[in-house]
Order: sequence, then structure tokens, then C-alpha cells
Amino acid sequence: MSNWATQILDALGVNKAKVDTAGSLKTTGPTTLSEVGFHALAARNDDGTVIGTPRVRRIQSTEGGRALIAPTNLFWDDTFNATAQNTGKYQWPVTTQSIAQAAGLLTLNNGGITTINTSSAVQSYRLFPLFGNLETRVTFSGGFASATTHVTNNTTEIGLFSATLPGQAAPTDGVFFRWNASNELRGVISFNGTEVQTAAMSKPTDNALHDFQIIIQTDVVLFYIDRILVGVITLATDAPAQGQPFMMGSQPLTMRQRIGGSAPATATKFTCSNVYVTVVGPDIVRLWEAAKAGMGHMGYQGQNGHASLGSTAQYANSANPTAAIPTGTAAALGTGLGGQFWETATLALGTDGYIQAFQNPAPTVNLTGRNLIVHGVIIDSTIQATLTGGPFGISYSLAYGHTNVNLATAESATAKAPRRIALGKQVVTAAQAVATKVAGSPLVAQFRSPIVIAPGEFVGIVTKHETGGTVATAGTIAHNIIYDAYFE
Amino acid sequence: MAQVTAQVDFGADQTDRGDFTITDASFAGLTYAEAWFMSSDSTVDNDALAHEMAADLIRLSCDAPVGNDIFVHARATAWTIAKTMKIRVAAN
Repeated sequence: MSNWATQILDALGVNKAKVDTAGSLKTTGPTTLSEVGFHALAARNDDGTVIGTPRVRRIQSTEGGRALIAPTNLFWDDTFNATAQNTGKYQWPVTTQSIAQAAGLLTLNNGGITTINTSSAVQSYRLFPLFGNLETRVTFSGGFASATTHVTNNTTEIGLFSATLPGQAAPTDGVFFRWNASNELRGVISFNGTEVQTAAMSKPTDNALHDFQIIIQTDVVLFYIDRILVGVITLATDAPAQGQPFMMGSQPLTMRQRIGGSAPATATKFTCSNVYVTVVGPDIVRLWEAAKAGMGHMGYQGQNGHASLGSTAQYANSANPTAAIPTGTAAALGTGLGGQFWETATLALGTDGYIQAFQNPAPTVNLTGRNLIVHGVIIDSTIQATLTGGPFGISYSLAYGHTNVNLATAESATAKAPRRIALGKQVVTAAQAVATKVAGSPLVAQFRSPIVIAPGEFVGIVTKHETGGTVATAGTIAHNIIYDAYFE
Repeated sequence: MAQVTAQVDFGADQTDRGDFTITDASFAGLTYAEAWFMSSDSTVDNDALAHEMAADLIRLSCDAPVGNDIFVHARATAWTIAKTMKIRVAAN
């Protein structure tokens, strides 16, 4: 035992440097600008508790001395709280196995079978790029949380990869976590089918959801579980013949569970709560509406939990809409968010009536409420059946924000009246002939300050045949309506 | 000539100095005094290595004996020390 210690004193031997309870020297940089020296900035991305070496990276600057920054850009953000497949974003190819969404979870092999040569997969239609020197990150909140555990002879893969689907063959290209048929968990990269794997990882607990994240750069792939680095594939040493982790350059988000030629002893069900993909880097900052459209949140298709998926527009294939006289109490011509609408032209002068009205679906636990953001509308009109009567002017308006489709809805403590924005005018001539353009078409209205329709509220385009004209007694006006919109 | 081994206490907190009075009847009537550390000495607080270091890191000086007492001044040069150490004191 020794009780020797050293001390650091100032020049007068008066002030002593101090040490904290962890044994670290307490330091403060110079407080006089002329005395400031140089420091190298670095970030400790992982403590190395699993892989043994802390992951530290220097923070860089440009040659001009400006800090290099790398904004995180959301490319995909989804939760499986709906009770039905979002067919606009994912395909569900299966062989004998089944997939279900319930209680906020998507479950592969929901039926819990152990039949050989079966599989179930979820794959996004969108592909996610790997840009040079940028970083693509994919994160799954998932696990074996349905009272099952992964067992031998079952294979589960989650990541950004391509495969022949449905099918039981190994992925053809991509990066992914794999619980393999030997019941090991490994990180894998597949370059046109040639695989490089990490060592077997410690599997996280069953009956709980965990965060599985893969960080992909062109020269390295990192595998994290619950924010702890558990595996690294460095191409320079682990796959020196490859210039990037996978060959295709972009990959779909894929989850798959498969059973080959040997049956597992018990069934395995992989469940997933939510997924997101980000691309980190400076070159791809984009407008928010472009980012949301990229996630599948464009206004022209239904969203998770919507009763109607697919196109939100009313545009029947090789069929015409049914003409009707507009009213202000219902969407008599149709409820699409844009599309084709045929107006029987006999609306009384000075009366408001919908060309179309759309209700932004109200939120539930199975339907994530999303504001509908409208940046513009276009109304393009022709005469579909020659008019009897006329002429008259048409004043169009946008009605939005009302909590009941009726345009007469009053503002109250628990209800909202429609907000109205004048859009512009068209003119119909007397006895205007079929297949002629209505003067003033197309009518284009853009909103730099966008229109916001909260979940549960309505938005619609309203026509008013102006008083002073001559009412039509027959004829049809065919409108094409375009919404420039996205779900936030 | 007289020589004794004494245990001194620098206290519980780290310090760079200590002043100690070493008392022994054999010092009576003597004129000169000297103190030093021996590298083989140890206490419950500081082992032989700590005493070896002390030879380099603590300067010891003595006042002339006064009766049975010799007053020893210990001054550390850069490091600090705590608790008990043994010192050797001789006089003639």
C-alpha cells in the first residue's frame, strides 16, 4: 500500500488541479481567446460493450473550415396499427403461411404452422437507395413476441433485401439480420447472392420487442440491437472484392420467415410494431411534401387503416361517372379526392353545391390520424352533353375544415363550419355544345400557405351558378379535379 | 551517537509537508542531528516501495537536539503523502 499522490499546481503553487470521484481530472479550457488551442472532435458512437472496442469517429470539416453536417432524412416511417394490409405500400407474398395485423403488430406466420417448404414475407414496393458516402439506416421494432421463440429449422430475415418471393431460397441481394436454421442470429450482407456474415450474436429476449437497426455505408455495415453495436462487417477486410455491401444499389424493406425441407419442432412467429428508414447525409434534403410522398403519404392513395385503400380519386377504369345535380348537403357527384365528376347543369342559380367532397378519415387506434395538406387544386371542365339554357357564370370555392359535409354546418363549441376560399370563375355560353371547353378552364389555384384538413374534417370543391345568368334546363358539365396534396 | 526509528503521521489527507518532534533520552546532550528514510521500512499505511519513493520525494531536515527532542521538518517536492511513515533519526 502506498499513499503517495501527485499534484498539479499553478506557477505560484497556490491553485491545485482537482480530480472528480471517478478519478478524472477536472478540466476547463482556456477562457481567454488568445490562449485557446486546438482540439480534435470525435463522437463515441458505441461503447464497445459487445464488440469489445468503442466505435469512435472523428467529426470532420470542409477544407474551408465549415463543419460537415449530415441531416437525417426520413424515407420511411410506418406503424402496423391498422388491422388490414396497406396494399399501397407493401406486398404480402406467402406460401401456405399467413400474415396478420392486430393489436398494433404485424405477425409473420400468424397461423403458427411448422409445415415444411412454407414462407411468409412483407416487402415494400418502394426501394431504398444507398448513395455514395451517405448512410442508409433501417430500423425494425420487432421480435418473437407472440409467445413463441425462434427455433432450429426456421429462418427469419429482416432488413433491406431482395429475394424470390414467395419462396424459401436465400436472399439474392441486400443486408439483413438473420435468425438461421441453426437457431443463430447473425448480421448478413449478400452481394448478388454471395454472403458475408458476422459471428453469431447474442439473441435478445423473447416475448419482447427490440430495436434492430442496420446502418449501411458503402464500405461498412453495422448491426445494432437496442442501440448496442453487436456486429460489424467491414468490406475492406471481410469482403475485399466488393465495393459496396450489395450489388443492386437500392433495396426494398423486407421481412420474411421461411421453413425449408426440415420442420421445426415448434412454430415461430416474428412480430413487428413499426419500421423506419432514414438516409443520413447532406445531399438529399428535400421538401417535406416530397419526403411524405416518398413514404407513400401522397394524397392520391389511401393510408394505413383507411376503409378505402388504393386511389383516393374517383376515376373508374373505362367507365363514366354518374351525373348528378350538385347539392350542398352531400357529395352527390362523388367523394373522391379529385378525379372525374359529371355535373347535371341544372343547379339553381345562386345555390352552392359540391362538385366533390372528401372526408379525411377520423383517427382511431387502428388508423393514424394524418392532416391532409393541400397545396393546390385544378378544375378542368368541358361540356359532356349540350346544354339547354345558359349562359351563366360559375363561381368556384374550396370548402374545408367542416366537421359535417353539410355546407350549412354552423361553428360551435364542438363543430366547425366550412372555411371557404374563392378559387376563380368559369363561363358557360348559351346552349354550349358538347365537347367544348368551358371558358376559364383549367382553373388553377395554388396555396403557398397550404390548406390543412384535420382528420375527420371535409374538403370539397363547390360550384355556384351565378345569379343574373339563365339557368340550364338540361346538359352535363364534365369536371376533372386534381388535388396537389399529401397526408402529413 | 544515538539512533532511533520513529513512526510519524502525515494525517489522513494528502499533504506536502509535516513537522514532527522525535523524543528519545539518548539525544540528551548531543549537538548534531540527521533524518532519512530507509527503503526497507514499512507501516500499515505505506509499504517499502512507498518508503523508497520517499527518499526521492521528501526532503528531511533537523533542528539541533534540544534536551531529549529532535525537531524534524519534512517537505515533499512535487507529490503529496498521507498517513504513517517511518523515519530514521541519528544524533551525535
